[in-house]
Amino acid sequence: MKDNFKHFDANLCEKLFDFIYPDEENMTRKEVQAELQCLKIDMRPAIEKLNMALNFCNEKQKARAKFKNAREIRLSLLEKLKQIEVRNLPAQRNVLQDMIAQLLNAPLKAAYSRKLEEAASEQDLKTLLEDILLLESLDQDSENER
Amino acid sequence: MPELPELTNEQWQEYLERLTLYAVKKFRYLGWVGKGGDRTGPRGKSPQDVAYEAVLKALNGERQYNREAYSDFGHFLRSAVDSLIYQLAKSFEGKKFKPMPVATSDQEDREEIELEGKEATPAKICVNKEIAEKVKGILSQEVKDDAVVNGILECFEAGITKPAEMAEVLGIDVKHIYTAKKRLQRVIDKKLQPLKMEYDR
Repeated sequence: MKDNFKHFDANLCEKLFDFIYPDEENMTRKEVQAELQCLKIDMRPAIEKLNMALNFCNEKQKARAKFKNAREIRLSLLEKLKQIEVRNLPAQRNVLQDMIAQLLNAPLKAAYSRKLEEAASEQDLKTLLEDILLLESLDQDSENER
Repeated sequence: MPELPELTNEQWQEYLERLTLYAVKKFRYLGWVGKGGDRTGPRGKSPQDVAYEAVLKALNGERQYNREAYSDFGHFLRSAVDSLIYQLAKSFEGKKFKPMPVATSDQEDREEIELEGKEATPAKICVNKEIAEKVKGILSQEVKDDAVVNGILECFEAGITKPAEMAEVLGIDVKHIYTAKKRLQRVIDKKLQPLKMEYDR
């Protein structure tokens, strides 16, 4: 009898394996699951790990989106601040303190009172006044946008 | 960085299941069958471990999805499984493992080309020569006089792989082909597993 196994090599063996074992590409999901069950492969731990990885990826994506949003807000605020011109401020300490007091409403006054007291120099007061003016301009812009 | 397709958790799970079955096939090619019939490769990796790692690499961007090279996302994931199995085979079997070239365009695969020293094509997992020898031995012992099995092997040699075409060429009913297929699967599953356990020692 003719010996058909004489030419049996790795290539032919691969064809044999492909023939006798199913190709998952041509199977429905149910068939795939049935085959895995038949092979006694428990997919639960792998699926659990996969779900954890997917949750982690989702959280990471959300955090990325939040970060991107915060960054955009910060950049737009900085851009607005650049556009706001702060007028020439007086040099005298008492004039600066009066201006600050006029600009601040009561709760803000309380919050800034310590800063006002601690302000050691005219330059400190000028900087504080500049900040207040900038914040006020930003508030004004936000209100106008609404 | 190319975006991954928008998939639900359920769709990812389906990919995981399909990739596991795909990995089982490759494990068979390499004869990685552990004690008790468990299909476990080197470093204790199971097909589902490899499938999960392939998915994870795609998810975390370690293996980037190239839409131009792979129009089908499933094929891209399968190539990731191939790479992982190749790496495992290389770590375990060393010189014994000889991959075959196929087309893709990935950094990890380019490394494989260099190892192969062939043209710019990466590795594909092929049947281990030693396993082929063992299967040959099984066939010679178990189905030597089986005319349908012999006919099927002749068809393989002639490039015929579809049962209906085989039946036509051999002049038999296609159901005999399917019966022989089951017979072959039973014999190989039964006889090949103990032989493959050598790697556990």
